[in-house]
Amino acid sequence: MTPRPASPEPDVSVVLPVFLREPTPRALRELSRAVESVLDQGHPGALEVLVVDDGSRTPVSEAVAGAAWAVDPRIRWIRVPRNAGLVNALNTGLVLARYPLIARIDADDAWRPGKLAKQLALFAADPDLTIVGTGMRLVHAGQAEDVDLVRPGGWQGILRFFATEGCPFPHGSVLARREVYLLLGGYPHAAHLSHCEDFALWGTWVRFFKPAMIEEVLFDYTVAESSVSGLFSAQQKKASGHVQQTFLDLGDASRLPAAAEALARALGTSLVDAGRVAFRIWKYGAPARLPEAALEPLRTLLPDRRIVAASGPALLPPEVREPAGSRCVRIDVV
Amino acid sequence: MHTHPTLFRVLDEKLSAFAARVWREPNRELRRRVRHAWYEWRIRRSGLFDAQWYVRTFPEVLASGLDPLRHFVRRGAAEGLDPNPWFDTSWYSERNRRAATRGRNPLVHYLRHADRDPHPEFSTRAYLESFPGAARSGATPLRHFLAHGARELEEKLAEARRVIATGVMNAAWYGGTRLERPLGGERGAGVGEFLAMQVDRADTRELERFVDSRTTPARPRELDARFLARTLAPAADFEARLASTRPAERAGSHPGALTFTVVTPFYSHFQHLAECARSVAELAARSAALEWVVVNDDPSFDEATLWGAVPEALRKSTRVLFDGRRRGIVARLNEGVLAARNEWILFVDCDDLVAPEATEVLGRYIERFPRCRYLSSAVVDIGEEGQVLRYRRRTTGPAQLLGEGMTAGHLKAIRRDALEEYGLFDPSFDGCQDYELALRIATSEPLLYVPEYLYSYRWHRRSQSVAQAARQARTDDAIVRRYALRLLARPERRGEAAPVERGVAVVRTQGLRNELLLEALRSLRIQTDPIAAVLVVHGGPDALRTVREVTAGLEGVEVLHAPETDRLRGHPLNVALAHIHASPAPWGFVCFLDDDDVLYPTFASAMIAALRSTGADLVHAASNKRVLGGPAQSAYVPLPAPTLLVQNSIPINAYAVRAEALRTARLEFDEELDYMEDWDFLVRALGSGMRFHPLDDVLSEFRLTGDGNTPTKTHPHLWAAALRRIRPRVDHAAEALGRDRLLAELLEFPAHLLERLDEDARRLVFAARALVDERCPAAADRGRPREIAS
Repeated sequence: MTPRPASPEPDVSVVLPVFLREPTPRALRELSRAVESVLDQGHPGALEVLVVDDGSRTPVSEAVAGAAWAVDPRIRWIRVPRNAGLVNALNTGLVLARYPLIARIDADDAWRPGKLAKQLALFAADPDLTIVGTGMRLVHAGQAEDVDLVRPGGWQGILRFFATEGCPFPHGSVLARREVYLLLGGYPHAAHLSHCEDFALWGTWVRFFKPAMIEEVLFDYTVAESSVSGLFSAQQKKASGHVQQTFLDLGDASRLPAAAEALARALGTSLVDAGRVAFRIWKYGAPARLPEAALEPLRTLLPDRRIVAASGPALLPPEVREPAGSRCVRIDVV
Repeated sequence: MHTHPTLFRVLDEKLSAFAARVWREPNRELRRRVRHAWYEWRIRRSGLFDAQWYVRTFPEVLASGLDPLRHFVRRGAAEGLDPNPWFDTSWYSERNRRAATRGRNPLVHYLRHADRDPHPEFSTRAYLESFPGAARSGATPLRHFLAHGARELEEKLAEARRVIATGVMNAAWYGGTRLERPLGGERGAGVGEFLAMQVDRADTRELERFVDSRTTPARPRELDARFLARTLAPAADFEARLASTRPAERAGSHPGALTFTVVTPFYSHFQHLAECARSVAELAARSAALEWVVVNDDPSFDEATLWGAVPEALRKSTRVLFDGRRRGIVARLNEGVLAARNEWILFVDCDDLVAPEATEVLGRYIERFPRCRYLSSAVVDIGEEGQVLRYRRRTTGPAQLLGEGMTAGHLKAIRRDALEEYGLFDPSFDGCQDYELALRIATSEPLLYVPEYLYSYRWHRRSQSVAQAARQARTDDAIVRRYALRLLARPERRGEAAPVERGVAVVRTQGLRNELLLEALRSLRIQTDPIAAVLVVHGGPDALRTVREVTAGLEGVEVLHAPETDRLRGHPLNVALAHIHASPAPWGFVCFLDDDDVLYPTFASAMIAALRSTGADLVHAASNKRVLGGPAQSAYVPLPAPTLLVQNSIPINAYAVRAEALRTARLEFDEELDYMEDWDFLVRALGSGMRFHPLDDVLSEFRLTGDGNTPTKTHPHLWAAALRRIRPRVDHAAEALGRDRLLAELLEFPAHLLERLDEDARRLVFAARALVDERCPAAADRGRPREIAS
């Protein structure tokens, strides 16, 4: 029986990166709306909103002085001294966050009431979950009609969506475990992935860690000409193509969830810990000692690595306890 | 028979344009008919449709009542039928997606893209190289081959026949020794006796199909392990090492009677099993006590069905192992081996054929080389219908097994005690398990290659999928990597090593850009595991005072002073290193940055995880650069460490080195270098034997402020002087590295990063190799396989 770890404490750090070229009334209005939509969730656990000011010429904390929310004790002001881009702002927020769950929101988005509670309910019900997204409404600044986007829930559905459509999680909808974020190294700083850093990160995430999606519109995403996706759509398209191709090169992704579960069984760990072990082997290629039964599921999880059984000493990963009665082998990545 | 090429091209273009117009025609049926008519005309003109062959190969065409060409255009192409034996419709469509778009015809696509390969066995590039006339003729290379190439090939065949007659078409090898003299022996049999019989027996038509291995092109290779082993390493050294193995004393002479078990794993190919069984029966009729073990791995065939394929005469010496499950070829091969009762095991696949004289030929060799435990024969390639495609020519011996790939294949005979000693087939290398086993044995004792054709290997129409091929290539790469490293006697990689906790950064400043300096220091704090700063001010008392002022009150920052301004850029770094080494703080790693660099927030956690997981002494990552105010751009990606011999390939802010390793190696920076003191330091680290590990995460950034970090150096003469000063240390590092470690470093560079390296990176790798070669000339007598008769 696979051990069931406790779900993470429902304490949430919300990372809100913001860069204001000019503190226009509209931008400030939207920012207030975004922050208030978080604060008004009525979240019973601990909550902090890390407003990461990515080097705006007028510090955002000064531009919003006077707003009631600006002095809310749940707000943490973080200022990056010089504009360094979204990835740096996001990772700064991740690193400085205090709580085990990270939520994302952009300065011009708004959560719907009850969003956080519904996501937390999923986490509480399934300790294996590491990330939960929701559906969104695309709100157009201009005349265009608003569109609801609701993507399929379930690990399989998310993998399929990744392979056939693209980025599965609306970024501002995500609630996810901080430990996994950090294990995966946060959002990638690679220049060729810029404007698609979230998609790139999810590509690794959903291979190793169980995701879910609430099939309901729970936040509003503002489509503005000036938003990142608007400005850099060509670069984004190229980068997305690269991320998706890397994912497609893995072959049949529908085998991954069962393989992850089989690995957890073989290691005698939770699904999350099995994901950690597999990720580290994938990432660092270091030899490890594992129960023999872990070999096959590991090979299925890592079609882009060559896993071989070898002889010689190696250590059990810290997550794994010496199994009674089953043989351990050294595995090498060659 | 050809229209003038130019005229033809004009016509073709006009017709294409017309067809394109029709394409837009709203009437779909009309559109289709015009298109088909055009395709028919186009294909007929091309001479690439062999109607007789088409009807013979696909008898259902006759039943359709359609003219064969019309059938091909309307249905056949879409169903994957081939228009001639050398155009593989499905294979071509798989590789040329546009050609397979609905309604299009792959052959017509080929006519417009005749530089593509039409068939897995037909390399257009190689063909044009062999027959330059083909390129000038204006016809497609395939058309040229069908019309003329066959005749030119015929001439080559005449030569081949002459060669065969001399009995040395296939060399025989025992380990690194080429066997050229007749074997002699009591019965007067020599190498080539059976071969000559075989050649006599082969009819002319089969011989015409002989394709010299030289006409099979080597496909352009990726920068994979075999490529490295062949081109970079002391390739001959590997051969020498494989050639120098000696027969195991314990192998003694073969005990008792010379008895054979044929092991055949069965899967799917029932239509060929009966033929396989007949060949085994013929073999059994000529050998004593031969046993056949069939291991079924295909639950869709029951035991009775399989027995139905076994000829009456063979039944009493046959066993069919059956458990109704699918366990994979490796498990089944091993099951067969364990079930075998005889001394020698012959491996025959269920769709292949073994030659009736196999055991007699093998027996002669076994008598001559009683301590040999692994033999491999030459092989004939046959088609679906059993027609001979070619006699495969083997020009290399077992000593080249690593560089050439699996040449120790069918028919292979392995003595049972060798399998007991070296172990069975390894499921880790599923798909290339036979290659891995051959190398496992060949690295310990010599294999024997015999020149006779004892096996017919059947090629199937359905070619491998791209994913399968990629997987196979990766497995092959893994095997070469593993055995190359073993032959280099590289110690096993360590797993998780001593834990690394906190890091310390040496920050170098002259106190001239304190705003940037504060950003650098801030980047050390914004980490999950904050990095302590040892900040060294290289300058006078004023600089020190200013820096102290601006950093006052910052946590985790120690300010040191490097006052000697006549000493150069290495000086402040040495001051910091001395301080760190003397410090009681248990620093896990040391990293460096200048005051215009920043580390990204995940630097520390990524470095700690990598140092811990890999046990490396130094982890180097990718890094960015940024013009202040602009977007980040990629600056460096991690390259194999030996490229440090030819280029400063790791920026100072992009690595973390274990504090302990740094202390042990007593590394210091050169204080007399105007530039490149950081490069010099890394060259010394490489020379000192430190183990580098690359990480493809981007973890740091340097900012382009136009004062020294730009690629164009402001003082070329100082730059040149620095190069001169570094050169002897590079030479020394090259010598310390040596040829073997250079290759080992490259082979240990993660395969998924290696395959991403671009042309420039490859050039650096080759340049590093050239330098090491220059510094470490190989011993003169090393590496040449011995050419002695047995």
